[in-house]
This record gives sequence, structure tokens and C-alpha cells, in this order.
Amino acid sequence: MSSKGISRRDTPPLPPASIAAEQRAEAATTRSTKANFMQRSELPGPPRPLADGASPVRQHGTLPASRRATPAAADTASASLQLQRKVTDAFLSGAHGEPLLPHAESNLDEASRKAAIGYIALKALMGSTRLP
Amino acid sequence: MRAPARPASDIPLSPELVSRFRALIEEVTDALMQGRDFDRATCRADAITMLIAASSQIEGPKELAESPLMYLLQEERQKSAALLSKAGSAAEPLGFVKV
Repeated sequence: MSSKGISRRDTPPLPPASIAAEQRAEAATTRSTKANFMQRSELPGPPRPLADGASPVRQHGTLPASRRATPAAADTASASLQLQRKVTDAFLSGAHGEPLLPHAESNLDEASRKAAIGYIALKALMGSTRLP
Repeated sequence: MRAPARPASDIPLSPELVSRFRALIEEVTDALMQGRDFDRATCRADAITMLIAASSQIEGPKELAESPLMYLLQEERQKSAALLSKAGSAAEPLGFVKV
């Protein structure tokens, strides 16, 4: 049975000059590829600072500056602090009844924070669980 | 059309909400008492005043009038005042009473 496909034996042998040219081209390609690889795989220099001025080398246990405090979180914290102060002022002003005891400032801060957060949570709960 | 608002005292509240409300009063009382040797009942009365102050800052004037939480706070304040006046009268005998 004869094969109709082209086999290596069917192709005519290349003349010696062509073989030499092919070998030269192959060697040139290898050199170029090797040079490119070396160029790309060279060791990096010292880490460059990021756009926001933070070090690209992450310190153990810390987040990058961009993730540490988002503007939204900062706004929430600021609003919460403002509300806490308003509650303390309203309490101390006696608009809702004179305070009976001279409370420490730090205790007032903590109590007004808990009062504000707790009241908001209760209000949310009331909205979701109010009986018909 | 919006239904007319019911008085705060008529709005039924879940037992869970009421127990959480009482827990909040105790939590604020603890925060006020921290490191101080104050009378707990008096601190609790101040905690209720503080929660009323918080509600006035958080709610609008209309919401405040209809708020069941405000109703609960007023109720707790009355109970607390009654308790304090009873304790006060027991601790300090009146001057005109002959012993």
C-alpha cells in the first residue's frame, strides 16, 4: 500500500548552503530569545513607593494605607462622634432633666456612645419586629 | 391615605424589644458607674435621662412624640423617680417626726 502523503523521504535534500543559513537563523533566534528572557528576569531594584506614598512592602499585621480608613468609614466615625457629643451636651444641659450625679467625662463619653448606638439599634429592631 | 397615628402607649412591643430596652438602660448605667462608687439606682436614673437625650437627638420632633421607645423611657423614669423618692424618705427621717 502506498502512502499519498508527503514524507520526509519524499522531500528533496536541502543544498549545503541552505542548511548553513537555516542553522545561522536558528542560532540568532535562540540568542535573541535568551537576551529577552535575561532582560525580563533581571532582579528588581529596591521597592518604589506607591502613588499614595505608602511603602509597597507590607508591614506584618498592618493594612495598606488605602485600605486602613476609607472615606465612607471616616464619615461614619465622624458622624458617630458628633452624635455622641450632641447626646452628652443634651444630657449636661439639663434639657431632659438635671443629671443627678457628677459623672466623669470619660464615663459620659462612653455612656453617650452606648446610648446613641443602642437607641439606633432598638429603633431598627422595632421597625423590623413591631407587632401588627 | 395615611392611617391616623396611634398613641405610643397603644403600640404593642415585642417582649424581646422590651428586654433589650431594659438591657440598654443597664449597659448605659454600667458605663456611667465605671470606676465610681455611686448609688446604682441614681446612676440608672441618669442613664434614663441620657437615653431620653439620645432619643431627642436621633428622632425628629414628630417621631419623638409617637415613639414607643420614648413612652417606655418616660415610664422607666417615673418608676425610677418613685424608687429614689422612696429610698430617700427611708434613709432620711423627717425632722418633725419624733423618734
